[in-house]
Amino acid sequence: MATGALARGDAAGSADITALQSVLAAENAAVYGYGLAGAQLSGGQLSAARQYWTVHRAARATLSAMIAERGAQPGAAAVAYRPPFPVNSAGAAVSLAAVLEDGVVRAYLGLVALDDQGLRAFGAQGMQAAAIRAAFWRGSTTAFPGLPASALRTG
Amino acid sequence: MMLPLAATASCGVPDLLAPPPGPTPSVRTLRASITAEQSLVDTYQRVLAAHPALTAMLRPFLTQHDDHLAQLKSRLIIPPHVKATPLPSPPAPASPPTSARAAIGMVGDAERAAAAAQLGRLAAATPSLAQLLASIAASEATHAVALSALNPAGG
Repeated sequence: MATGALARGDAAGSADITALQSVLAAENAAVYGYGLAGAQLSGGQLSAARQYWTVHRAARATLSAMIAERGAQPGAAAVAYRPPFPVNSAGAAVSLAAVLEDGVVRAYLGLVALDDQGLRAFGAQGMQAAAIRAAFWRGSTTAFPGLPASALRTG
Repeated sequence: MMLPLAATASCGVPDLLAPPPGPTPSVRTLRASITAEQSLVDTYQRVLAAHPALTAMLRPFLTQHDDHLAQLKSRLIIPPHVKATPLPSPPAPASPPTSARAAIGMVGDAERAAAAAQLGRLAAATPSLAQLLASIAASEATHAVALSALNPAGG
């Protein structure tokens, strides 16, 4: 029985680390992506991009520490990330920022499904912050940030 | 050989005379979320009844709350042999302020409170319900921010 409990603990810990690594990867992509976007922005949008870039760098540090505390090596950022479309205008930069934040929302959503209540709450708070930033760039709100359409029931 | 009922109960056989088990914590959480979401919808409807000029501004948010409510209700499945307990009615919302700006502030406050309350329900929810609640909370957080930026004509 003790072995089974240990095995369950290991499995939960492994799931926690996997989910945290996914969030770290999304934050790494956001840090890089905001650098791309910022090059096309000016004025208030550039200020917002700089502010959010700083937020993502801080989140990256926090997540790395959380992963290390669990005995794992935080995933390294890639040297470069390919944007989903050419970022050669302010409009494209704003779209990229929204896409990046959507990705961060989805990554934090993974934490909410874990058994660890602290990680659930951390994930939900991360979702809220990223969803607010995504709504800022998009100029509108959505009903179900982070949830794929397949997770919603119809009819 | 016929065993006395007390003996069968102590042998792990279900006690046929016991009342059916009550709802699980996750079901109670779901019901509380439905009631809270209904309360938010009621608040919007009262504000719109008092301030029809705000309809264009507030309708998109109300539509998303209708979507939230539909998703939550779709997850409340009552087995056919169980008599459904009516959902508790939400408390009547406060009367909207006469000022349009203050009325928007009222729904913004309600959104913030709703988002915070959803986070408090995560611990008792199943993983998939927790993700739905966290997504709804993120949507409500974006609403609160968007509402604070609205500027109704005439104050």
